[in-house]
Amino acid sequence: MAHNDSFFSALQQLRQLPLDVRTITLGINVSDCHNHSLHTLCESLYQRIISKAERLTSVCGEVSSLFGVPIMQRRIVVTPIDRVAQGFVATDLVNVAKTLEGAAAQVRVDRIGGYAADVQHGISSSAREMIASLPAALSQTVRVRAAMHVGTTESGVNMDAIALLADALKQTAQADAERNGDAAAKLVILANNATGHPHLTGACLGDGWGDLVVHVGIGAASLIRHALVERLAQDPKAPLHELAAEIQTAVFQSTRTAELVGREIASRLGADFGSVDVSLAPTRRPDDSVAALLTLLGIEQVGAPGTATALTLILNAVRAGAAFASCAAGGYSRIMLSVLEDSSLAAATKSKELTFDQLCMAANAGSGGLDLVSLPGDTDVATLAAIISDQVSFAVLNHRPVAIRIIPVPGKRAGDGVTYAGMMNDAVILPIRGTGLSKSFIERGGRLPPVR
Amino acid sequence: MARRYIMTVLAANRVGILAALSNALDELGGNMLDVSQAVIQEFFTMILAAEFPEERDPEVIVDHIRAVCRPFGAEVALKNPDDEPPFDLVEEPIPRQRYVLTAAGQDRPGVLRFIAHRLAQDDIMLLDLQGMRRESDHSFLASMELAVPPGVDALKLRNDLDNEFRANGITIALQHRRVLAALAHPEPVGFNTVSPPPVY
Repeated sequence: MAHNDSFFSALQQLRQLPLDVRTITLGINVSDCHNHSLHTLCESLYQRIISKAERLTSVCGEVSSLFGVPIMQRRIVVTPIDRVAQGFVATDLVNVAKTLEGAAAQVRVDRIGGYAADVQHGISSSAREMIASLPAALSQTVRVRAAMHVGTTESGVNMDAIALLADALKQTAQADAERNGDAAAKLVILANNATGHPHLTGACLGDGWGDLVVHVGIGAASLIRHALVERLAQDPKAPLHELAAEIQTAVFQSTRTAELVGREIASRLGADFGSVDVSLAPTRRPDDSVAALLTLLGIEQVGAPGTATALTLILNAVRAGAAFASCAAGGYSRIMLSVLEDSSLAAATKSKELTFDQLCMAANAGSGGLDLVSLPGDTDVATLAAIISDQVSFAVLNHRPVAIRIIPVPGKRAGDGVTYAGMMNDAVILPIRGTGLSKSFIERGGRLPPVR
Repeated sequence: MARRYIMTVLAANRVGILAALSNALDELGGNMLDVSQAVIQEFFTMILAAEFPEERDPEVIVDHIRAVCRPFGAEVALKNPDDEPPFDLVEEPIPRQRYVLTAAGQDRPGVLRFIAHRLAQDDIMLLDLQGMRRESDHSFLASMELAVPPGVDALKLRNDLDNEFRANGITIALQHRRVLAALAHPEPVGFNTVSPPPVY
């Protein structure tokens, strides 16, 4: 026999992985665009972005066809605008945001991040103006994403900033009321995470990344699901460590491929290669969701006891697989329980099986915070601030990064359905218990001291 | 001055066939340049390119190999590449990309034919093909190495083939050689798979 069964199994290793690159992020250094004239600043920002990123879309297309790997989203991140545009008032900053939007539209990318400031210790007057500009900047643009960094384990948490941001968040949602407060989803509040995290919505080019850098992000949910389904077909009673090994292998393979794609794009653009991020994010493939992975592992519903264990198992396996695959990977992995992007989670909100408290619990158990959760529009600012500060303080205590995106949907109450253009799923607004009971706590303001 | 011939040898697959064959070549003063050998069911098959001394008559080569390999019932066919009309080898400005295409599933007539026609349409060259059918469950597996000219969208090609066969339960995978290298070798990706950047 020329070919026996071992030939069969060797060839089956070559089956197509359901791999896609979730994001290609081009980081562009714009620090030297600073100017006291708003017009000159905007013009040089625009020209810099166009000149560096004009080939991004075509190069992504070429590399995608070459390796047969679809690329879902292209993003640009720039140096934090708070550092480049010092000394402007809120209305000027809105114009800067619109400049970013225009440049991103011109080079056909999906998102542009960098409208960001670090406020973990105190709030500079520029950062204050930037926070004030958020409602207009985010409701009048489509692609711009904003980020605010409010605390770290070493520096503590700036509660004043959180209160200010909760207010800005609510105003942002109100300014975009006809689209169910979609603009609020474009603001991410970060902790332990410096705004330079290259893979987050709203991220900017962090310190020390050079002038031009390509990062690549993979949504690992579909791959892991594929690996688990195949393993469970062979052995429905497979123990957890075997399933963890399957996840590790799948993540290894996808990280290797993603790094290859990222390096090729970087070399064609003349950029440095930055990092690979393997995060558990839902994709647009049907049944592709983090909640569906939990079901495969045997947790019938997100939030049931055991959820934290299962999420920990998945996250550890993802990190182990990614770390072995690439020295540019691993540090950023997280689980994104994005309600509006995850079909199973969205369905769970509709069937009232998922509560806000369960989401918070899952967020603390390995996922990176509350992501795209719609809340009642009449939630008061103090309660929003308290929800944010709860997430932030958990993260700070556990030395873990967190990213919070919540949307107080104007005019909607708990139990109402919401739909967004561009989001996969409709969801139902989750009720919050104890609304308005933390007002005096938040009004005290000040800082949480560092965790020691 | 040595002369080059391309030969195929088909013989019964029993222990000693390669020893006999290489004896015969040695006695003829031959030297192998390129060889591919496979055992196809009961038969030993070999395709080889070999050089022989200028004065060696092709008929002598064939007869001598037949004689030495008589216990194995060897059949030998020999071609002199110089006798063939030359191929139009056009120097290609951008090198072709290497891919591995695998197809697997329930066997049915016409799978390979469809794939081959689709590849020919895009001017894709086939460099290597291996495949087998498993009798126990009538499933088949085929793997081929392709040299794909620039401008072919691998994603589209895979989707076209996949759409054609998915209804029949046949899965198609198309992977770039560099992707396979990244998966198969434990070295860091930058070390084992990077080729020089293309010229614009």
